[in-house]
Amino acid sequence: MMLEAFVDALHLAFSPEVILYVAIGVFMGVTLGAIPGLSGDMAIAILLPIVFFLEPAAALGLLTGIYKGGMFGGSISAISFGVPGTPGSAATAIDGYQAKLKGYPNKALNTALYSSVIGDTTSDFVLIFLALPLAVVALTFGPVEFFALYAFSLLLISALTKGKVAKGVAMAALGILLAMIGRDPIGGSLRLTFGIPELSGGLALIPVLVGIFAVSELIIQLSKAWMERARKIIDDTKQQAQSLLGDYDPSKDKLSFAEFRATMKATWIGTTMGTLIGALPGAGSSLAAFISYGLAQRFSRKPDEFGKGSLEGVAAAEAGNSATSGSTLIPLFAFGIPGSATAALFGAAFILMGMTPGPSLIYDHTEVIYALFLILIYANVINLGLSHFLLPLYSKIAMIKSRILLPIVCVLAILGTFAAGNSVIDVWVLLFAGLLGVVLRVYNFPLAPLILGFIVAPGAERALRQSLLIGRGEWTHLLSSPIAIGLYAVAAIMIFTFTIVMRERK
Amino acid sequence: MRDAISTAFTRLDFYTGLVTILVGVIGLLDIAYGSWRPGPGLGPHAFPQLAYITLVIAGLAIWVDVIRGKSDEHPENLRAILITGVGLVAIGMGMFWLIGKLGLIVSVAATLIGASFLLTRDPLRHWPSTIVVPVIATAVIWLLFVQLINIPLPRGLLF
Repeated sequence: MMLEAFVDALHLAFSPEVILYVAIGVFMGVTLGAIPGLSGDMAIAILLPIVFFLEPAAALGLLTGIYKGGMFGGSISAISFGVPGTPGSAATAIDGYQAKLKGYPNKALNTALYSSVIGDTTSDFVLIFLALPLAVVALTFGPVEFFALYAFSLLLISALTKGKVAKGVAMAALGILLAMIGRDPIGGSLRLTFGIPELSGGLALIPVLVGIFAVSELIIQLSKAWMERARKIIDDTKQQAQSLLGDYDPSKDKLSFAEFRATMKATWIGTTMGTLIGALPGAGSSLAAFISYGLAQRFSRKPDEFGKGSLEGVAAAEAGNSATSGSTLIPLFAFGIPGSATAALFGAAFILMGMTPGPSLIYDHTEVIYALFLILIYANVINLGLSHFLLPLYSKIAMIKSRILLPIVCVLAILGTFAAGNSVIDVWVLLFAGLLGVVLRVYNFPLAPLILGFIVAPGAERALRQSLLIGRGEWTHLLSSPIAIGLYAVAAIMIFTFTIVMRERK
Repeated sequence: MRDAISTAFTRLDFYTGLVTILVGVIGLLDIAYGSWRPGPGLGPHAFPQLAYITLVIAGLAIWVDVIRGKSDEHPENLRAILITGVGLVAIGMGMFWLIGKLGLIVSVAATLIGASFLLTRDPLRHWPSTIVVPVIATAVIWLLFVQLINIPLPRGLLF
């Protein structure tokens, strides 16, 4: 049966339509990731409603392509202009931009591309080999274990995201409250609707996700574009970058095999750290990239060259960033808990396609999940091939002014959200979630705990109420399982450890 | 300690902590005195109650950080960002209303051209990006949403 499913998956994954969607997705992801202010994650969020209308394999192919492309795309802007295209490429900018200023941007871009693909592919294999065994374990979990898992994820993501722990915990609580709007799933009574009948159905996932995550960022970028127009600010970075082109000699800027081999240690350090850190809910690609960069410098034979255009620095940062891509999906596949905003977006895509993320996902939709695993691997190959040839084009695309693209992306977000639910209420929710998101961003509240809280709250409430019913109202029943106790203990140790690591980094 | 408390009122996070605590307290009062129906087991109020208590604790933790001297800086360009946000909400709903009156193509094109004009200095001089690109984008959006996906167009803003 597994073999049959694998054969079906091969047909699904390698159909011409799916391959085409993956290639389109990679191109879109790299392009949008390269433009500061936009990102592959934003593209996934905006296109989620459209995914609803595609076949599952094609939809997952498109989203995967955008995801993969976006991971690398941020480094193009980071290296070309010193402006990270995505948060995960901030560490790449340290050495990447210096490499550009010293006259070898092409070496840096190719180093970033190869290390990104190596990190990404390795992480995907870890996902493929770990997700199934973990899902088998998760199938034995009862309500007590699941509640502990939800609490573990919320605590970790609150503690590890940027900003203070207290603000992260507050956001997780706010996300839970937003999910509570509507009907009590057990008793059926209305709660937190404030007398508004349109809220009796609760807040739909897509408008909240796209609003909080994407629309809030669009508002900030639009305000920057508006201020740029009003104050007549000239982009000094781009001017300087363009003025350097006069001294540039492309013949001396080709990455040799010896230079590539010299970056391999740094690439594998980044790959290992990125894969490990990516599996932790809330850790994020930015943290992975910086930790990888720091470790690579420590173990390098030429640590003094870091910060001055070292290709090892570029390789470690980019591998660390990209290696989170596969492992960040592990909690989603194994437990149904998204450990990052991107995983939440993939989870939302599964829900839109009628598939519930969680341990039974692999068993209920085996051929689709196997097809996704295959797509995850070959999307890296497509990314490598396309990006290798299109790098000169991508560098030019990164110079497209955001004022041209931002209004188009906004319109896509609004129409796409309406298309998903056929409801004007969803559009209201989208826009007001965007306003809420921008206020939270401006006051430095992290958004990832809010999104995770919103997604896991229904499951967590159900697990808690079931646990207490089984335990006849005794709260100590929540500690009756050694797995649950272990999860709480591991969460406490990890939070403590990372708090110290992040303090040292500051 | 007295100095720490007196300077706390000048820090931004004192007020973010205050808002967080107030939301939690108001929620708890609503649960205690509002019209919440009982339910089987824990009841529908229990999980929201847990969330409100967490908000209060988190707000107090923010205050502790403030007294210890840690606070985020006042946000830059707050007014511009909020005005942009409110503007986006208004323009977004306005575009939606227009679609019901004038159709998708005219409304989306008008919105995109209007937005490009707003964001560009000397928009007529940059007509390829302020007029041609929005028109092409409108055509692509029409193809995608009307021809390919075939969504029913919104009937209007009012409900």
